[in-house]
Amino acid sequence: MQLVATLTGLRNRSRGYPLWLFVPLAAVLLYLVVPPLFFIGYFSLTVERGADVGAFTVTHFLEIFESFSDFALLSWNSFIFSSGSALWSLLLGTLMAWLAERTNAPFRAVAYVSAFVSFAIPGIVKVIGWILLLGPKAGFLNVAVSSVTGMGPVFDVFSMEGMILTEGFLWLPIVFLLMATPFRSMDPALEEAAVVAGSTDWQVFKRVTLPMATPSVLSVLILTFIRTLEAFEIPALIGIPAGVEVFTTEIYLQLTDGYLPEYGNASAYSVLLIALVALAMVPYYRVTQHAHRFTTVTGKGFNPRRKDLGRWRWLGGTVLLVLPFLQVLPIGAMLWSSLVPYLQAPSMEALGNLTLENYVTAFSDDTILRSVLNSLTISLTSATGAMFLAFVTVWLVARTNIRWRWGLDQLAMLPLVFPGIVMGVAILKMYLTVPLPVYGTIWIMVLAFVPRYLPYAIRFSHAGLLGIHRELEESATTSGATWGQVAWKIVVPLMLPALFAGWIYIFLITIRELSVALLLYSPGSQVIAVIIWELWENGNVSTLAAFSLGVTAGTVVLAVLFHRLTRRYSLQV
Amino acid sequence: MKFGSRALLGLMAAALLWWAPALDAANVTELATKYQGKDREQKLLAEAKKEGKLVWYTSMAGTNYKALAKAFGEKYGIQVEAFRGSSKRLLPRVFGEAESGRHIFDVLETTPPTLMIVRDAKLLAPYTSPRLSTYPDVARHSAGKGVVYWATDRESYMSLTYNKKAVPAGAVPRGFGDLSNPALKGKIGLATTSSGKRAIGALIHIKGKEFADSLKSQGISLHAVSGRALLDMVVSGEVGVSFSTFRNHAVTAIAKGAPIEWLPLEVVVANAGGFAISRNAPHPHAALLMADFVLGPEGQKILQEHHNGSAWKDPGFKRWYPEAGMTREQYLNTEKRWNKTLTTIGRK
Repeated sequence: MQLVATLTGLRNRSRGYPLWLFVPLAAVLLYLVVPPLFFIGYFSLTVERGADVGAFTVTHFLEIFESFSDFALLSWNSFIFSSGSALWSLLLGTLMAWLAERTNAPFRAVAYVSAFVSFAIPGIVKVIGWILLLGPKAGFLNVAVSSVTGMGPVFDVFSMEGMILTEGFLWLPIVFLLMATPFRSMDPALEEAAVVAGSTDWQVFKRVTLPMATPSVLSVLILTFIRTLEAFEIPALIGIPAGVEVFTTEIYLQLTDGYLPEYGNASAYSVLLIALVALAMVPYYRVTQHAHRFTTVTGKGFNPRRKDLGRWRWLGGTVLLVLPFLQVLPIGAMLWSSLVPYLQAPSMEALGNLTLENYVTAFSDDTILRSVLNSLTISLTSATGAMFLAFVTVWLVARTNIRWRWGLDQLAMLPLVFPGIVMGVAILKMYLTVPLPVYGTIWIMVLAFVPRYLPYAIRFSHAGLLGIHRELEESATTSGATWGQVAWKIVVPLMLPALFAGWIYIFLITIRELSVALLLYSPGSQVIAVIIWELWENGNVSTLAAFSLGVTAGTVVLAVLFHRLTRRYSLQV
Repeated sequence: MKFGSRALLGLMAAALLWWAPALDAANVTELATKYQGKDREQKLLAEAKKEGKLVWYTSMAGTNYKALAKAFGEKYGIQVEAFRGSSKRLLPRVFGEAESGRHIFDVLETTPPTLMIVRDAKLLAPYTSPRLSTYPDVARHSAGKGVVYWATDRESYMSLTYNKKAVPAGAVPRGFGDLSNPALKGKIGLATTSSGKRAIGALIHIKGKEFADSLKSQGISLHAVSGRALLDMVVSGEVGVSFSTFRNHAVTAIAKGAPIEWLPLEVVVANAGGFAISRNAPHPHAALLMADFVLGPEGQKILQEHHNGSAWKDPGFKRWYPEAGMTREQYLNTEKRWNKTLTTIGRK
């Protein structure tokens, strides 16, 4: 009874807004976000087995720092891999964005379409495609080059350089899209003023364009750096065989490489990785917070001027064509591998033996078909769950004056510091400990994905709600509508495109997610990315290729839908 | 309020009920010895149907385990959920789940070193099957009193595969001694999984450690993949020759036209895959039914069709069981030494 009284009291104070919605929402968010963080911290500081199990200890951290040279190498590898990939994808991506938005270089549309399509191709599919192309001896590109020049392999993908190159390939389309926005929305008046004042092209670029683009460049650089720090596919598929270990693979190996899973050590590494990510986020928020000083979007209507490249126009166009080319190459390698009876480089001789048998094998396998069903169920539920929670959170934060509402927002954004693999460890250990029977089912993955992608859902919902003026809701309330009617008949329909865009975004990320799923799957709960991983480990490349292409075809269709929506809603998440 | 706490209690009760079968699993050993008559199959099947499914952890690679699971499912209408991982990947999963009381798997089919570790952790249930009466002692890992910890259901033979395009006919090794042939420099590759370690074991067994160490100059490449995946690298030419590849995988690839050949470099490592049942099997009847099936004529036929060998059939070359006569500790220490040689002579 007392609770009811308190609730009523609170409701009055919040001017009739649905406080009873606030309390359960806060409870759900707390449950989803806090325990994983707690378990990671707890297990990094307690004895894992034996007589003293559960006792406080710092041995896990000591063990890491004990062999300081190993730790230094791990940190150095992570740093070089992340900054290398971020830098080179930023350089090329920015050049492409500038060419596409501010010059008259051809093939702009092709570049955009391929950037969006690339988003739909699962990372693991592209990585395996690149391994097939750049494997040191039998990689299709290496074979082609050595058969023409007679030289040995030109590039060995199994190296730090190979990791940086391929990770950069994965990031390029996203960097391109992120950098295109500021170039598109830059006020040309400033540049024109500089030209009128007698500046040369170079001076305009150096003094006006570059400073205006700096916040975007910095934020994209840091964002890519953080995401690469969290990356798993390339470190696992290329780094482990190459002997180049980074934080994410170290965490994975701690759990899978010994006779017993070392949760304590894995948690300690996770804490360090979280700290690193959080540290990198500080400058990110600094840069983005002061973005208003470098306002590039205003109410003024304008068309940024496009520079005439003259004779260099076609060179610029060629650079833009690199983007679709980088998508076609790995997919092409997969297509070829899916059509040959056994793995071999393309040749006239092999052309006579092409077969569709691999597709038959892949799509008649129960486990493989079941993984598609599992993935669909998990992604549908996760995307719906995250978007629903995000919508209610954002709505409560923006439209009520409940005292603790900002806490909800911060709680929902907290998982940003969780790299996928860390979320995997946390959820795994949590549900091995808590007596809730989700371990061994697909639902454990939903419980990991919803908090993990909640921040993204919040960004999409926030963007959607920003565009709706309060007066619509107010006039409905004045006309006697309840808050429920307001939400359902006015807010939701108006926000639907943004909510749907966020939904598809999360759907597409989760359907290809590997690091979380790899730690949480069990027999019967394999998902698409895990099946591809298993097929790769078992050396079933031809079946893998056939299956991957089928999956890619499906996700590309979804991405086209996504593309149509995100043209209106920024993809900056 | 009242409703809230009642709902919560209800939920907790539901969760516990869901959980209960795992805690109250029937004793596999008792069941195995209880049903011995002619109606064993019907009795097991009736109970297995109620259990609904079977979870199988295995390190068999390729198509053989899928074929077994499928045939069993078709015969009995019981779904087999198979989890395939290298023996190295299976252990942390088995132990992690056991530690937390999450009993997932019923059947474990893998090589003896892994089985020994699981047995010593008291996670295996000794069982018996009428099929075992025809099995020789070497294929029965006895737990005393007529029951076994595991029975050898298949043998996989690991030896040398070479790519005909990458290795000239004259340089094809016929014995371990030929691996030092300068023509093979930079062409030899090995897996870093237990397969690679055991391959080194065979090499040392025949030629001694000094010879093995001398192969460092051959620039052997190491690959963190299964023996099956390594075979694919030989097929594509990425690796010219490897002696950590399996006969059954090679034969399947050759049937598809792969330009490779498998040769038994004596001694040939024999991986004697053992069929074991979990002490905490959530589906004990289904597990026993599966044991009868895999160890019986139908299962054996499928395995032989996939070019697996049997413990009591002469494969035509000299076999070697790396763990024979060793305790778990001894084997683990020996394997560690092999691994050391492997990583010293390998590049990267």
